[in-house]
Amino acid sequence: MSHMADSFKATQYRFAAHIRNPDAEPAPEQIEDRRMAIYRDLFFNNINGTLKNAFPVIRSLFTEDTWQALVRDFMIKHHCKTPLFVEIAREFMAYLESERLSDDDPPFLKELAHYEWVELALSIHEAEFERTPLADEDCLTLLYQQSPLAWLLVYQYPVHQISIDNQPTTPSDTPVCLLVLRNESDEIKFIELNPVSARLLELLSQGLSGKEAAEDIINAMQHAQPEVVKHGARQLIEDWIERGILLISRQ
Amino acid sequence: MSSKTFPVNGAGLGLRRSFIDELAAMDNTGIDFLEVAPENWMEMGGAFGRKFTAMAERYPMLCHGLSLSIGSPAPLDEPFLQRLKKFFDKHNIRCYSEHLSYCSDDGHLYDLMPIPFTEEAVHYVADRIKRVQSILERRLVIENVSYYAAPGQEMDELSFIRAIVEEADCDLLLDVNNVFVNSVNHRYDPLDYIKALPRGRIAYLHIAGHYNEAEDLIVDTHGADVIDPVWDLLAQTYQHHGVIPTLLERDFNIPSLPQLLEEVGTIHRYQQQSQLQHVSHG
Repeated sequence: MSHMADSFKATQYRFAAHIRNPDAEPAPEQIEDRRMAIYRDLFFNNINGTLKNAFPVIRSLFTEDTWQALVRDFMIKHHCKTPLFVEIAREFMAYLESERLSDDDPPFLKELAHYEWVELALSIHEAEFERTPLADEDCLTLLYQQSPLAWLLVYQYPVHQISIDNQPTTPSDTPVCLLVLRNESDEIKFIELNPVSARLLELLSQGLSGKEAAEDIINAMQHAQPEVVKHGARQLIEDWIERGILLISRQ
Repeated sequence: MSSKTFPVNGAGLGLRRSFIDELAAMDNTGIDFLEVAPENWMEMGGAFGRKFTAMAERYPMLCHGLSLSIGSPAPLDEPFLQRLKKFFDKHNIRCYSEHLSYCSDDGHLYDLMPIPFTEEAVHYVADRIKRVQSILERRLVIENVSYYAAPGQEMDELSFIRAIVEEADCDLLLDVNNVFVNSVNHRYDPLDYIKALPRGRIAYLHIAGHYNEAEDLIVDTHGADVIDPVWDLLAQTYQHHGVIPTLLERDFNIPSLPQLLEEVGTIHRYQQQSQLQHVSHG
């Protein structure tokens, strides 16, 4: 072996390359294979276990062999930047987004990974639950912020219904709108919204007042009974305030 | 007796999520301090964040890092060190230890690889430890790791670790179980190894169980009860270096909390016995 200035670093890169991809990258010289096998297994099992825990639904859609091939492909192609274990799931999503190349994957895979990640991400989010009660006032006249603990997610596939026996092959006719929130008991709740309610929430979090948001929707829908829409909006907003999904902005 | 001041005293336990609620509900645990992997708890809100804060207020807390990758061929992650520093300050962390190892090439692999035992690696790692100490404004404590292979080896493990702590002027976390595992896997005398470590630099000890892959090859899983030869080695460590704060690590196959507390109690007993011996001889 040569003794160039940083030969030990070359040895390190070779060692790590072999752990990532044992079939293609030779192990460092003069190491008993059963000793390298311990490292290969430790690293693979560790990452495999983390991904299994983070993505139980995705795991259930793969066979043992195809899943192991997926984990191996992740180790080969993706270089994780995060030092934090809870963020490995995010690294896996980045891998699916830009490094995964497989025609056999279901079309909803990236969206399902996102959906499975959301629950973990929200459960450890650093924001504290907050509620801003409504005084004796009309909620349509107020301005709002969306709670950092309430996320509006729009998917092409009904990710919340996917299982081994229910795997859509084409996107839904209408977008699937899910409101995910962490309540004051630290529980994660998923609420399915129709597209009009989702639009209302979106407009409110963009800074429109309740009244402006309702009028925007009435105009867009060419709705014949504006009062019905306003009444519906008022009920939704009051409910969202009560659940801490909307926070009243009082400047 | 040594006049060294330790970051904590007595016997501690590695804190795991699986028993945090049970531990929080107990009054008399016999635990003197706790330890966590910062990478599992930092920047964490919600229920777990709150539970951790409560434990850090109640027990002296140590951090035992996993992702610093002090021996990595890739540059040090300095923004990560700044994040660690914030976490340590926020929770009054008594001491930060890391593995004398590396866990990344140009990306993280989340487990421990053996640094080649070479002269160049000694200087390289010592420089990085100094940099870490200057950013964190605290001493880094490095741990002897279990290793199953020694790629590119030019010196023995003991010389390697001694040279690094000396050159970097850092402290040492002596993992007694790792010494035992390595002594079998690499055929050396575990007590000779322990005796040769600089007493004044040892900040605390780790003790754990492991798994026997074969008679001459042991895997350090932290997934089993502590075995008798390791308890003996702990007793001999106390005998030689004096009583040192000791933490029980258990990462897999975690038994019931009462069982873990019993093992913590065993550490206490060894510490008391050793103190009595020192008194009677002293």
